Amino acid sequence: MNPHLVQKLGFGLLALISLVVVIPILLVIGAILAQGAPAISAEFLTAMPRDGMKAGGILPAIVGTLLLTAGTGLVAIPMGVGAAIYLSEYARDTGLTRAVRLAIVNLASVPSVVYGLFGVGIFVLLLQFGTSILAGSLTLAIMTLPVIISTSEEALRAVPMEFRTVSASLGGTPWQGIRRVVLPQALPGIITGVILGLLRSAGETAPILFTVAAFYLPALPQSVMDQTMALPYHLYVISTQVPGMPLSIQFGTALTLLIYVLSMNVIATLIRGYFRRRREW
Amino acid sequence: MIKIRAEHVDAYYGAKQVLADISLDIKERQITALIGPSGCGKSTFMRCLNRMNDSVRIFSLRGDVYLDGDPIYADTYDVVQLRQRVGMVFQRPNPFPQTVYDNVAFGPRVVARERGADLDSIVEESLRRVGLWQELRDKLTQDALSLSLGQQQRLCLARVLSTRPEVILMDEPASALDPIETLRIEDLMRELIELYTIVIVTHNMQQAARVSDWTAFFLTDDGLTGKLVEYGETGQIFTQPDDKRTIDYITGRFG
Ligand SMILES: Nc1ncnc2c1ncn2[C@@H]1O[C@H](COP(=O)(O)OP(=O)(O)O)[C@@H](O)[C@H]1O
Ligand SMILES: [Mg+2]
Repeated sequence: MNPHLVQKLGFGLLALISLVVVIPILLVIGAILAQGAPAISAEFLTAMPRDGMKAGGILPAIVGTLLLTAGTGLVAIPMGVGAAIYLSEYARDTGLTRAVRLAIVNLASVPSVVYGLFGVGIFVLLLQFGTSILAGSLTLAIMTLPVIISTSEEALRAVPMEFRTVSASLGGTPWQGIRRVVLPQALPGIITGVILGLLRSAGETAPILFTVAAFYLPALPQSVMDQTMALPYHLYVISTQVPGMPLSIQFGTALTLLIYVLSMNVIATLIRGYFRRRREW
Repeated sequence: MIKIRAEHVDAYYGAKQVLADISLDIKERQITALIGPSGCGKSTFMRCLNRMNDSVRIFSLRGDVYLDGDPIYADTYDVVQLRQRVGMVFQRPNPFPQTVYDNVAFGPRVVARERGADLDSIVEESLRRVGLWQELRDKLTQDALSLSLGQQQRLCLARVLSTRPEVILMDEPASALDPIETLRIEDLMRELIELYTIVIVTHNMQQAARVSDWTAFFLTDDGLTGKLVEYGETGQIFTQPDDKRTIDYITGRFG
């Protein structure tokens, strides 16, 4: 057969496959956008729900999700980045560190409902935090840690060994080399990993189900020991648990969550692009 | 004056002995060249002089190295101070991916905690010494990696000078540079020995002959363990060496 033709056919096939992958995503986004956009208004974003959630806004769910993301980051970022620094810069290659690495990789693939149950057992019951923002954030943090650790460690390892050597040759301690040379270099990768991890946690329902989420709580939380509504769980509730729920509210909530998650994604991409551009003069 | 004295240094990577019984006096404010075929332990020996091998877990050393008469491998010896006194320039120019200023400021800022105007003047002085100040005074915030390789290597030298060293170790500092940049570095070395003691590893015989005052010739006879075959004034090593193997190496018969 004419190699030109084969080439054309091959490209055509590949284009088709990518189309098949992209079309459902576009359809989903399109449907949510089309049906959710009319529902979104200033009131929808800033008001309490009313009439058993069938009217009003979704403010407590938005605030709850923002708080949970913040709480998760507050716990998971220092722990995750710290662990990554330890693993990549300090830990020797022993059986123990290899076991830790293996555990981290495996933890990343544990279903989120398992983290939810773990959170109930440890934070809600054993440590008596009750169903609270604290318990929910800690649970989400534990779930997010493996992602942050492995992406950060990868970013740190990508920094050439040589810079650490040079720093040491100038009299720097290992930490001074890490702090002044290695970390700045690895930062874009670390930030990307952190955002991807938080992204995953923001959309999860199972881990917050028993640890923090309130079914219907038309008030803003006053402390970390309070329960709160959250977007993913709220979406689950209004889609399956409340008969006669207007579709527009369901799609509006879905769209809000989607925008939140996508905007984090965009931020991650922008940050990466910014640092990459700075690198190549 | 003897600046560094190595006495009966044996060096090992694991069970592999790579240096045997090296005794060598490095004279103050002179340039000492270490020459010899690849793999004979020149870099290893040089790294013994500022304890850069410490971080190699399987490395071990026997014998003594003295800086101004003090044994640098003594348990109580301050390694941070040692590395500031004995600086190092590497084979490949390796500035940090940061600004020109931050590169030169690294040692004094991070290790010696200098700040502000003091730091500025250290940076300026260091760049002047390597002849980069005129070129770069308006480009201090430029990324160091945007400089030419020759400039980068001189920047690395300035980064060492800013820690106010007494000795500068240079491991094949010009091997990545073109001939003009190489001459530039050599001229610089001749200027710098007014103030510093310099040890250079080089593969380039002409370079050793041009630039150094003293030459040490290393060789392994079993392909593993490096020994010091001959050490003396460069003029003498290159014109009337005592050892036949030195003649063979210098005239390019092996290596
Ligand atoms: N980190 C290391 N671990 C194990 N062996 C090493 C290490 N560094 C160097 N060597 C070995 O030590 C010997 C001397 O190397 P080196 O000092 O780099 O020689 P040169 O600089 O003269 O080329 C070589 O056989 C080399 O393979
Ligand atoms: Mg070498």
